[in-house]
Amino acid sequence: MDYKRGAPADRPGRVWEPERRQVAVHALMLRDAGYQVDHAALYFAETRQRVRVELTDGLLDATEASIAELRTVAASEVAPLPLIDSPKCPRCSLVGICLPDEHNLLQARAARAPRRLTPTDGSARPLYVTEAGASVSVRSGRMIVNGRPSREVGVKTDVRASVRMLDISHVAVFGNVQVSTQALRELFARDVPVLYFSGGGWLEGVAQGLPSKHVQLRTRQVALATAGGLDAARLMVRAKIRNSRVLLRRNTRTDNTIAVQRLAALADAAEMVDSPASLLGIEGAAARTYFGAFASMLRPELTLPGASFAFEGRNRRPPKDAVNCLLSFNYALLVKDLVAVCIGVGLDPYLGVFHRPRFGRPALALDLAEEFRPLIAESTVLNMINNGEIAASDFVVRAEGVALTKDGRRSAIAAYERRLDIEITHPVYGYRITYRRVLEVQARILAAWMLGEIPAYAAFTTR
Amino acid sequence: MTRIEHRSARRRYLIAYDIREPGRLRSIHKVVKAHGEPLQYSVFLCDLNPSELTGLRWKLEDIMAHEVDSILILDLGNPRDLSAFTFLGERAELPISGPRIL
Repeated sequence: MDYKRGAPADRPGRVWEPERRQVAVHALMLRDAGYQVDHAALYFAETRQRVRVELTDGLLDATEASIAELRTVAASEVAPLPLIDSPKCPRCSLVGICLPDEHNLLQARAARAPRRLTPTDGSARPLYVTEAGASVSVRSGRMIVNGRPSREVGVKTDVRASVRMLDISHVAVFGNVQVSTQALRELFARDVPVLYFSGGGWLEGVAQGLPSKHVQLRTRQVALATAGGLDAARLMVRAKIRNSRVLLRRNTRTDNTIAVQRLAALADAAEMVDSPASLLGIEGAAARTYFGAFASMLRPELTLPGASFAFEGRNRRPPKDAVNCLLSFNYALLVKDLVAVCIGVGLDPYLGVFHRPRFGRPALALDLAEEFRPLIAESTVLNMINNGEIAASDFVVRAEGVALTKDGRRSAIAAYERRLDIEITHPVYGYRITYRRVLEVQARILAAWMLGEIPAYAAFTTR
Repeated sequence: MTRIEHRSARRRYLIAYDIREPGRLRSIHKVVKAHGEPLQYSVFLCDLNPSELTGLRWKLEDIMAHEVDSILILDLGNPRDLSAFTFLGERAELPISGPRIL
């Protein structure tokens, strides 16, 4: 006997085939346990009807066959292919992970553009704690952030914030911020990672709960990282160059035709290379061209502290000018988000396909970051500077370089988070999606390629 | 292209309770506070998606004494729509969403 919430089926026999198989499984289990079962029944709560199901040999054989088939699927190393255009997909809770229409399009199994099945972004957002000496604790389902404890006896510390655990996607702490063990355990139980930054904004470590249960994906990733994933690396670098070219064309204030043409040529060349070393060479050449022209996108009358942003482009550790300081900070935030995404998808953020693994370098997160650097980080920096959202007073010049002040850092984080919430039309799938969600979709596409579910990685480019 | 609204979007609920025994009152208060922001004594605003709401109901129903206690859950719709709120006197803070930068 099984209970159903709805009404019996409007067809002869009054039950659907899956329902028949389901009660048949109950019956088989009872028989195995030594009970005598001669028929089964379904009770439909909505209409208060009881429907008898005969345990025919045909039904029992079919049920045994389905069980055997399910066992084969469960034992297989490759997940079954997603359904094509199935009406079941929209209401499935796994649709955002399975990405059925996107997979089918990339595998050329379906010609139609995907329906918008991907869930909108989760409602949870990051919690950033940038205040030196603050502490993060947990009290009955809420994260409490306290300010630096007072040295005086008997003086309570200020509660800076009390945030529902439900609202937190990950916790990013900057500098000397304490996170209690109780808080860590509660975060791990909810699959929420904690990302530790230095006061200056370098990503220094990640605390997460147990590693992902998707063992198969990890095995494939290790094999691929060992063999070198040039196929995907080429597409990532090409997308990065094309995206930086688009940014340059959209924002340039002077004539940059030569740089733009050169970037187009380098993007095509990146697709053709046959060795990681030459790919690195092309990427370097593109970066020099692009950052050489980067200053042409900045308002010319701007005066920011430190050295002026020179045509040599990038410098870091420490950045010598304000523009480089903001770029480095935004890259660190982007890599932080991609580390969190990798952990969520079940990828190891340290095993990359383009960036070679090195101690302490989240190579895969850096790989995924490539195509998004111009679109998210650099574009945020340009907007902040050109719109006057950040001023000279938000930086401090130290002996060797330029750093953000506490307030500068907060406005930089706010600007970056705003950028992530921008909705764009996805170039391949055609639906509206936020950058925040694109990051995860890309990581899932990369995982699908690693698992052999789709023939090639599809990098993200804009027009 | 069809656009299918995802069902996990959050809605705003006003939750008010009347609990007859201090022990249960504390437990209920703790559970509701983990799900929302206090508006007044025994009155909370909770932004929840369907599964979060189900989880909250399940916990509340487990603690409350159904014969004497009473809990009200009022659906206020989209959290961005503030038209349902009029404050007289001191204005309470409404829940905010988005990243928190401290």
